[in-house]
Amino acid sequence: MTPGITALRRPGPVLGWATILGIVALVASPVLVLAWSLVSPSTEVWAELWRTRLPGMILATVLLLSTVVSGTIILGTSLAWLVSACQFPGRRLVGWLLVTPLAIPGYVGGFVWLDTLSGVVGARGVRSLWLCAAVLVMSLYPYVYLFARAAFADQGADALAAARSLGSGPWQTFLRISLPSARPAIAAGAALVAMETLTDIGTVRLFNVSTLADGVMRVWFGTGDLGAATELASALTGAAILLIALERLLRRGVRRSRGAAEKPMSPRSLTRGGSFAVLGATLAVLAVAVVVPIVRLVDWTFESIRAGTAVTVAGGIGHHAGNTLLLAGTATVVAIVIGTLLALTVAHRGRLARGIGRLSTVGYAMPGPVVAVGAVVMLAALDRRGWLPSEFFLVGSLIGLVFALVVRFLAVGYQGVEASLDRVPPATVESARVLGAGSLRTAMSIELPAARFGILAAMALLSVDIIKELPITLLLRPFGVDTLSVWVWQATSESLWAQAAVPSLVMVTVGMLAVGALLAALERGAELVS
Amino acid sequence: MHAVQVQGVRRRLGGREVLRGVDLAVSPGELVTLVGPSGCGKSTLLRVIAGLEPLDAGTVMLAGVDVTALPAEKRRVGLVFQDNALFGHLRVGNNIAFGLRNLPKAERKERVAEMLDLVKLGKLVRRYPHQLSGGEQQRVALARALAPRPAVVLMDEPFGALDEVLREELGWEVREILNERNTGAVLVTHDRHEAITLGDRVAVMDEGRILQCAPPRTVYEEPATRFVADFLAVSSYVPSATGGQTLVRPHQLRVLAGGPHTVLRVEFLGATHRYTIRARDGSTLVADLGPAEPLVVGAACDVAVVDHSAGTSA
Repeated sequence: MTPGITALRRPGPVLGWATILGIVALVASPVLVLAWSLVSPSTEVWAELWRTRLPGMILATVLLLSTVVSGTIILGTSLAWLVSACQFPGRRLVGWLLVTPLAIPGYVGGFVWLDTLSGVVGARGVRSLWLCAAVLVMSLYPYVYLFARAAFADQGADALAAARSLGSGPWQTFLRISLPSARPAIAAGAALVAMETLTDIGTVRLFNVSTLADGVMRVWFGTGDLGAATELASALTGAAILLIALERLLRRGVRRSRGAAEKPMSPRSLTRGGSFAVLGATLAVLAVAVVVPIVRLVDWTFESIRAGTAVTVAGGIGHHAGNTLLLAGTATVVAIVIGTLLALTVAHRGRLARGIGRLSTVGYAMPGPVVAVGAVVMLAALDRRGWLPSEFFLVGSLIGLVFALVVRFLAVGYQGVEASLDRVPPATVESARVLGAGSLRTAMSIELPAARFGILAAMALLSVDIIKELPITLLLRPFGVDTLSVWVWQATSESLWAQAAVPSLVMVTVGMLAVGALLAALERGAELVS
Repeated sequence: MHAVQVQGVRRRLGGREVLRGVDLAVSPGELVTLVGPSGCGKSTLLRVIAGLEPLDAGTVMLAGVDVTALPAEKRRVGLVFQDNALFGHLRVGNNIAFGLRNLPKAERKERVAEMLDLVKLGKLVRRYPHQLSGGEQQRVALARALAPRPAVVLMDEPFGALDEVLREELGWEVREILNERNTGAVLVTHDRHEAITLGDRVAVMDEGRILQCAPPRTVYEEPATRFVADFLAVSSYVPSATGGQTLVRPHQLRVLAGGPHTVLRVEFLGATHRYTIRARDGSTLVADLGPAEPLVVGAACDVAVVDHSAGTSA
């Protein structure tokens, strides 16, 4: 990492700009490839799709999206408010635990509840859009929760005290002050939820909900028709762009952050009954989102081990876990290194550089299947050029897979580091410069140490995201390299829950460690961005 | 009838008694400044009056009504904070209208216009708080606090975030506005200069008690305790005729060339010089009156008290 920074920032503006443009061009290209096909649709394929499946897919996508987004907003915001504003036994611990569903992918919670509920409502009735939405809400609400909590914590006690002294009771103060001023943060969290829902292929497949993302995967695996998959991916891109526009709109509006002399809001004490009711409500959410899935996974895992089915054609748990760690580790490190490099290069270079830097995050705003298809189209084009040594193809190589994952998730690394760098006061950097430290020493001894918790938080989020990731891994993995998520995908598509439990449990365990690291970093002042 | 009357208020926080039996009464239209070192309990007292902080003993009366058991939202006091605490998502007009929910719409509109007029911000009604300067924000905060016509306005370091020139200007304006509306006010500050210039009365607090509450001239010239004397202004002590010590302020002390004492420091104040003097007995004296030709550091000197009658034994 270091030689790169010296080389880039020392020799002046040319190399710095070249780095920024190079990284951005590389990362944005797969998405631009698809954007091109969005503006130049092949009418035949479109007409065919419109006549057959597309209307149904759009309807299902819209229904699922609106249900999941409103569900997570309601659940995430209420939980954040309870934890921020009410004093109840175990408040701090519960506040942390409520983030842990982040470690349980929707498609894992999905098959657990599918099996658990099929006894109640019957195997057929259970495969519904509404249950799918409920499962996604349980797995995705932490995004809204985290953002809303940060916003509530930032509101400050004085504004709330002023509202009260102006005659507004606690409930009214929440509705008239806290909620409206947390709106931009809630919108940011909800946007992440929307993207995750749009990109989901594992959970919707379990519940037989045919969304656009599901359509891309089915067309790809069913017909291998890159043209049709590209068209569908473009439609998905259109949906994503609409969502981003909507989120930008909702994020506007003004937020007052807490003044320098102002204390954060303190939780108010409740009656004994009230505090136990709050505790009960939060524990109920945790039971549904975390406890039941883990208990059943453990149970199934023992069953599977006893039956000797804890292996797949590709190999045992070691093979899959090893691949997952290798892949997630490599992609996380590459994304964080490139993200840090970009953030350091962009910092103090003005608004234009910042604007261009933002373009590198476009992949994160695109659903996984879109990025996957875009990366395949681009890599295949490179392969056809024959620039690379013969017998080596980017499509289906580990390099190609890591590239696509970095395209999708670079934003997490870049924005996390950038937000931390922004909080280093310019005077601190200037002092270092005046004391004789060059760009490299300033970066290494001042900027990066200041950003360390931001980097840790970004790495934790990156690894959780990449471990759970399905569409890109499924489409681009090298032959014979199966990860934990691929195993879960394969086992659940044959309804082999007990077999799917083994890799799921390992994923959840690794995910919990990453969530722990994320919480530790947030506790030490890392900031959430989206 | 007092706008606020606090009697025997005690409050224990984390094992420490932050308020140890406080009595304070503020008349309508009167501005009492509450001054003291940080941690003396002045902000806590304000929060107790507002109902934001429970109390362990004592009573709080607002406009003659015992409100000790009422929650903050029922007390109808005005609050102004250092960081203005405006509602960032609401325009200036809606910020001011926030506490006027019970008024009919027409009347509410009228009241907002009246308040904007009062703080001279009529043109800014549709702005958002972040589009205003620090001084304008604080005026909006005052207008918002005054809009429901509270018996008393409580201000916690309201000018603390402003620069010095603006602070003085706004201070006078706030005083006039409160006076005009006959609203009682308590203003918490740690700035002794602000406390004596703005207050109709000054309450000096230390360690959870009000040591003295009196008009500025009285606390300045006849401080009840040595702490009050030293906290409010620069003090020197000279032996008195009765054998005790007499408090003299710098403007009452003249420096003369030649004598048993030594000039330690000379500060140029514009019209005069301020001399810090090491007396023969080791004590330090501060004097603002000096000879036409200024003395230099290290010079031998003597001092004379110019106006004995103003001094008080302490």
